[in-house]
Order: sequence, then C-alpha cells, then structure tokens
Amino acid sequence: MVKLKTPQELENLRASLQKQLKYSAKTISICYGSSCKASGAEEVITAIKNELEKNNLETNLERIIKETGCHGFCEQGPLVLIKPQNIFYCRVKPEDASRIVKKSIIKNEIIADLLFQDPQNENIFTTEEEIPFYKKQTRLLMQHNSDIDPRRLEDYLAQGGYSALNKVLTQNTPEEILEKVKSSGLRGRGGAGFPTGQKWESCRQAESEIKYLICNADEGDPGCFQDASLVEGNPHQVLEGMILGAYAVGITTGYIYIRYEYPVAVRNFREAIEQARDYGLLGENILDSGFSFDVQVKRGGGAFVCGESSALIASLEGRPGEPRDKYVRNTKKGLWGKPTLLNNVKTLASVPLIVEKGSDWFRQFGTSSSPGTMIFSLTGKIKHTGLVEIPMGISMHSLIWDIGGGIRNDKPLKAVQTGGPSGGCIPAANIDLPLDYEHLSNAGSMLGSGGMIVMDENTCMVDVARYFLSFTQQESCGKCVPCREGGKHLLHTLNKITRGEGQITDLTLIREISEAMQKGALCNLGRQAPNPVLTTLHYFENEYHRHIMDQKCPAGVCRHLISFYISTEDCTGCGKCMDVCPEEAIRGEKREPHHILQGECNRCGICQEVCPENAISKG
Amino acid sequence: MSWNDQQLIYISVEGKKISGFAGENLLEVINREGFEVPYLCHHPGLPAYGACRLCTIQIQTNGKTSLVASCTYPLREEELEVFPHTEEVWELRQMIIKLLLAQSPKAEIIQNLARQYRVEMTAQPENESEFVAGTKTTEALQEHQEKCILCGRCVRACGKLLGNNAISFASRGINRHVTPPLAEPPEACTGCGACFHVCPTGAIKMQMENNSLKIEPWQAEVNLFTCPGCGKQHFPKKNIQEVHSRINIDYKPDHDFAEANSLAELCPACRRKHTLAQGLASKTITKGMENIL
Ligand SMILES: Cc1cc2nc3c(=O)[nH]c(=O)nc-3n(C[C@H](O)[C@H](O)[C@H](O)COP(=O)(O)O)c2cc1C
Ligand code: SF4
Ligand code: FES
Repeated sequence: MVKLKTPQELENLRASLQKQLKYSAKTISICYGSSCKASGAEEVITAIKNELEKNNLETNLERIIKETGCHGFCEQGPLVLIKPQNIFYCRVKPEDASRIVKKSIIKNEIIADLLFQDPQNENIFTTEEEIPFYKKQTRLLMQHNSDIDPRRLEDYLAQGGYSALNKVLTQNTPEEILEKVKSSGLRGRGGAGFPTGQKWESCRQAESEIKYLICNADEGDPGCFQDASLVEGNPHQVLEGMILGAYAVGITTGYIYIRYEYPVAVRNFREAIEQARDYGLLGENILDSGFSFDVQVKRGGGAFVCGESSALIASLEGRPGEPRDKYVRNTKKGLWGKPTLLNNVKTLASVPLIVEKGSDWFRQFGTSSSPGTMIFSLTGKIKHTGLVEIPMGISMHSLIWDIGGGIRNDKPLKAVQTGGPSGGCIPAANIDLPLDYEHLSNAGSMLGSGGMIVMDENTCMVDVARYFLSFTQQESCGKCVPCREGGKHLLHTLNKITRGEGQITDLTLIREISEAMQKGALCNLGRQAPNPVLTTLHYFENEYHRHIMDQKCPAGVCRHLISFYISTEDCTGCGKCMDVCPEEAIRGEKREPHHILQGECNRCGICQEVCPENAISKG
Repeated sequence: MSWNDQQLIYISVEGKKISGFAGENLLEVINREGFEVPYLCHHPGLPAYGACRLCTIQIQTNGKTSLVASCTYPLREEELEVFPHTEEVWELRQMIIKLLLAQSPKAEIIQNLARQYRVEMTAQPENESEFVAGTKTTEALQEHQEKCILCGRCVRACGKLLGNNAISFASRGINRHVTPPLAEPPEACTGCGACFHVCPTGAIKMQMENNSLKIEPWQAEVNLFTCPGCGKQHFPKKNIQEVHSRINIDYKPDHDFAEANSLAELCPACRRKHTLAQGLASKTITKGMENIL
C-alpha cells in the first residue's frame, strides 16, 4: 500500500480500481450481518470457499467472495447476491454452495429455488431491485452495503468513497462545508433531531485550541442495529463523515464510541482507521492539505444510558457512565472540559453524501423540516423484518404494508411502538401518520433511533407498557430521584394492574408520577421512560379499565387474568397435556375428559399448544 | 482570579433584581437572597451534582420557559428570569418528596420536608427487579437503607474532595447503593468523618470506641492517636499521617517544619493551650486577650 500524497494520486487510484471492477468477473456478496450470521452465513461462506477451491477459482478468492455488512432483509437470511446482476438468493444453506458456484458463477444460470418468492402472491423475483421490500426503499446510507467488503478501503474507493473529502481539501474552506451541512437541513439521527449544522457551528465558534469529535455508536435500543450495519458494513463512510466534520469545525482528535456488544464493528472500524492512515487519508497532513485529524476506537460501557451524550463523555473519561445536567452544552464544554462535537453514526454517514452531491440534492428526499432518509428496524408481527431505509415523511402505513408486506398471518394491526423503549405506542387508527420528527413527537412518541415494533391484536397494551418500562428501569443509572424512584413506583403500579390488583385511582398516580419524571428527571432516559405508559394509557385507556374493573386482560396476555379450560366435548383424554404441565395441574382418567385445577395452574399455556384436539381454550 | 475580578451577573427572581458572580450556581445565589429553595444533594463545599432534583425551579431565558435544577445551573451572561416557587414546581417537589418518603421513611429531613410540602406517606413497593443488590445485610446496613436517599454527598466528599475514594456508588437503577469497594471494610478510609458530616439524613454513624473510631455502615475502623499533650485519644492515626504528608508536600524553607508537624499531633484543646503559651511568650498575645482566645 502506498501513501497517497496528493488528491490527484487518490483519483488515479480510484480510476484504476473502478476499471478493475468493470472488467472483473462476477462476485458473490454474502451478508455477514449479525442476523445472517445467526442463521448460518458463516457455514455458507466456508462451503462456498471450499467449492471455489474445488473448481480452481481460489486464486481470485478475495475478488470473488465479499463478506459484507447487513443487506437489510434479515428475515430471509443468509443472503447471497451474485454481482453485478444482483441476483438475490435467500435462505441459502451450505449445501447450496456447489450449485451457486457451478451454475451462477462458472455459468450464467439462475437457481430458481433460491430466489425470493413473495408469500403473498407467490411472485418470484430474480434481482434485489425487483423485490418490493427493496424496491420501495430509498437507500442512501445503506446503498453500498452489499458492494463493499468493509475490510477493504479499496472497495469504498471504487464506489466513489473519499471523493467528497478529496474535493473539500482542495476546493473548499471549512466554512463552506459548514454552510453546506447547515443548508442541507440535516438533523441528528441519534434521537433528539437537533439540527446538525447548528451544532457544528456552535462548536466551531467555541474558543479553544483543543476540540474533540465523538461518533456515537453505542446503539443501545433493543432490536436496533442500524448503526452496527454501517459501522460494520461501511466503516469508511462513517470515517469520512467524521473527517469532514472535523475539517468543518476545526478538530484534530476524534473518538468513536462503539457499543460493547459489537466486536465485529470494533474490529472493522479499527482496520478501517489503520488502512485510512496507511493511505494518508487520516493522520498528519491528510493528502498534503495541511489538515490533520486522527481517530481512536473506544468500547462502550455496556449500558443503555452510556449512549446519552454526557454519560458517554463521562465513560470516555474513565468515570462511571452517568449523565449530568447539560445547561452548558458539550459544544462549549464536553470531553475533558473542551468543546466537543458529538454525533450519531447515521448523522455522520450522511455527511459525505451531502458534501459530494450538495444540500439541494439531499433536500429532495424527506420533508422540508426533516430532510433525508431514516433507517428503520422493522420487527414484531410484521411479514418482512429487517432494516429499511426510507425518506422521512413516508406514512407508517406505507412502511408496514408496501415494504414490510403487512401484518403476519394477516391479523389486524393494533399498534406500533416507535423509537424503542423511550418512544410511544401509536394506535392503528393513526396509521397514516407521516414518519418524521414532528409528527411522531406530536403523537406522544418519537423517531428515536428508528426502532419500529409492530403489534397485532394479540398484544396487551398494559403489558407492553410494563415491558418497556421494566427495560428503562433496569437501565436507569439510578442517579436522580424521579427516574430511579418514580420508575420503581410506576413499574410497581403497572405490575399490580397486570395482576388484577389495580385500582382506578392508580391511573391518576400513573399520570402524576409520569409527569414528575418527564419534568424532573435529569436525562432523557428518565424523561422519556413514561412515554410507552402515557401513550398506551391515552390511546387504550379502556384496556386499562378492563384490567382494573373486570380483572380481565382482553388480549389474553396477562397471566393472572386468564384461565385455561378444557372442553369436555372435544377432549379425548389422550393425556398429552397432563404430561407437559409443569405444575401437574391437570387431572383426568385415560380416555375421559380432563380438567384443570385452576388453583394450581400457572397459566403457562403449554397445554393449549400441545393439545391435538384444540380442546383447550383461554378466557 | 481574585474575587473582585469576577464578573457580576444580574438576574431577576420573582421580579426582584439580584446579583451573583459568573459561574456561581443559581441555587446558592437565590437562596442567599432568602428564596428558600429546598435542596438535598447539594452542599456548598462539594461539586454540583443534580441528583435529587428538589431544587428544580422555573426559568425564562431567550423567551423560553423551562424547569431546571438550580444547583447545576451556572450563572452566566444571559437575560434570566427565575420563578422558584410556581405551582408546577411545587407539584414536582411534592412528588419528589413523596418518592423520597417512601424510600427513606426514617430520615428526619424528609419527614420535615413532607410536613412543609404537605405530602403524605405512600408505601414503598417491593424491589421487583430481577436481581437484588447486596447479599449480606447487617443491622447497620438496614438502618442505613431506611435513611439513605442516595444523594451522593458522602461519595463526593470522600472521592472528589479528599481523593480517598473509600466509598462509591455501586449497581444501577433501583439497586444503586453506596458501598466501600467489594463491600469490605475500606482500606482507604482515614476516618476523617467527612461523609458523616455532609450526610443530610443521618444515615451514617460515627462513634469512638476504645482505641478506635468506627464509621457505619462502611465497617470502617481506624485507630486513634494519643495526644502528646494530655494523653487523650483524639484524631484517627491515618488522619494525622495524612496531615503530616500534606505538610511535607507544602514544605517551605522558611517554615518551621518540625513545629508544624508536632502541632498537628496535639488535640484541639492542647493546641489552643500551646498557641496561647507561645503567644504570651513572644508577646504577640497580651494578657487579657487570652479570654478571647
Ligand atoms: C438514554 C439515552 C440513550 C441514548 N443512546 C444513544 C445511542 O445509542 N446512540 C446515539 O447516537 N444517540 C443516543 N442518544 C442520544 C445522544 O444523547 C445524543 O443526542 C446524540 O448522540 C447526538 O447525536 P445527533 O445530533 O447526531 O443525533 C441517547 C440518549 C439517551 C437519553
Ligand atoms: S434520568 Fe435516569 S438514567 Fe438519567 S440520570 Fe436520572 S436516574 Fe440516571
Ligand atoms: S440540590 Fe439540586 S438536584 Fe439536588
């Protein structure tokens, strides 16, 4: 590897890499994201490698096989793409390796049974672009995830990477970059949606020789892995964004704070930093521009609250990861008391695109107050789960039906939790809500980090509130009274209601405690923790009433409020339920109808699952 | 910077114009003028913390109204209007006190606040978290837990102020508690008693017993030093050692070093006698002044 000394040298290298790409034969892009890995991507990779060796193709191994970051359609993993045509194979097994190499690589054949088939209408799709899940997306940030081996800087270069940086260093002043980011209207993707340009400007104006930049990759929301997909899958785009931010604000030292549970992201980003340094794109005197900037990787403290900016900074300084009041902003006094620019991964990854293509280009996506795209993590009772990138402002309906394929088993939608455990529950009636910062927060929820959990009619809203609150309670740092003690009482009250021991006055208590937390808690963990409770109470108050007044859980979820019954007509007395009941609560003679001793039953529901006659009902 | 270089800042509190220095915290500034904002985790000798949230007040700046914790809000150049006792603020404080009363029913300071803010007792819920901190409980620990409100004054006094770090917070969320490292008698404790003195609820006990000083619930026990003057046991030995080492660090050539060290070993009563005798001998103190001293 040669150190690039001038912008021209970088462009020459890019040109030769692109030429190679153009004339190279096919490549197999295999998703190595966490979900595909869990469903067996590693075995598939090994099998394909072996197969390539058998066919004497191993000399080109690195060129042919790309282990990439997340492709997004996680539910269908392991995913394999044959490039350049983008033939999309899903649920690939190691046994398929030989066919893939012999048919799709050596010859030009398509393997029909590995293609994606829409369960809805049985349509079969050959290429990625055609699949509705991908077709309706606008992939700006995740665009190159399947083209890039994240461990090769050259792959990023070949896709046009670092050209924003290159142009900037030769043609633009820091002020011009700042202006561009400001006029793009980009807002922080870490949750709060603070205007990025404004944050940068404030940090730029702070008087200090030393300033720091921090990329927040702590991503603690359960079920979210958008930031991981970028840091793991396209680390150089994040790094380029960091360099551009540092240039615009006047910073020479940067950190990326990566969630403790993301070892692959840590490895890939460390390697990216080293490669960028070797090429002269990071470190002293970048591309002979006189501008210097370097980055270090820090591993997170392993707690949700460490993603909060002041807690993150405390943790970086080696202190316990606890928040502090931010009446003095980090851009004035942050890490080690110096002005600090802290941005989320997605925020920074958007920057190279804005700088390269301009703020008008960026503004054509999304809405005027929330420009650009957002990556959502679709989970829950939805047909297609995975990571989805769409322009801001698209309706929730479109996201769930056009891209997500609708509700699993075609059941009715009940509600959607957006913004993770700190967000709120939006009822099916509001399904046309546009997905942007304002609309979601007006509905009592938030965009947050882009979590989206779809819930069908079998979901109990009181239980949902209880579940999210128990998460935030577990993750509360315990420093301030409203969050620590308020959360404890709130959770206790919800637990009581789900056990059928609630009183109608508890609803007033819930509202009062929630208000105190929203107004009084130190950081947003405590301030936002009541959101799931307040939104479910607002939109589904009746369900709370049923739990309290009738001791019934209408969705049949809250264990204390349901009972299982065996129908004497349908029961054949096979005894299967008796064998599995962990409480030995089922009685009955062989071939005679059985019955359940309600006092012994713990309502686990296993009997209902095993009954071959469907004779057990819940009520 | 000496104090007369400090920048004066004017703010308005309930329409009254008051002043303070830039960088001072709002709580101390407004309470100096008699506004009686309640507080628990703050202590003027300790770094600001912002944990109890009892000092929350309403402010208006740049046309925006918000609630802030006054103990961590620094005075700075800005138009600031403060309303320390609005209805909203009062309600928030009531809820905080209610929560604290459930947590620490035996703490007198909380009981008094409850009376002042007309708050009634609610029951403390069971700890419903999946894991429960601290497997051993002693009587001292239990007594401590009924009073401790986790304000962290002791932790800051021991760590930030003295650099001893004999106690710290452990565990997250509702399992948060103050403890010496590994819940064992703390090596680093010098017996200075700062934690005892700053605790607002009396959750820390300090007793002299035989030849030692005990601080509970930390299980701290330090030996006492015998006063060379009167033979009485007074300061903890480790404390005297620390004073010695600090004197040695501050050593200046024209300073009577041995004198300072031996002075540090005297109990307060003997030290007073000694100073008086010296003063009389050197005529820096005249007869008659001794009564004042
Ligand atoms: C409890 C809590 C957890 C957070 N976790 C994250 C996180 O994992 N990643 C993130 O970027 N921001 C997180 N944030 C938001 C950050 O405090 C901060 O606003 C954000 O990183 C700023 O970057 P942005 O302006 O680019 O959005 C969290 C906030 C809170 C209150
Ligand atoms: S709101 Fe919760 S997480 Fe935030 S400082 Fe208070 S106790 Fe800690
Ligand atoms: S005194 Fe201000 S938060 Fe406790």
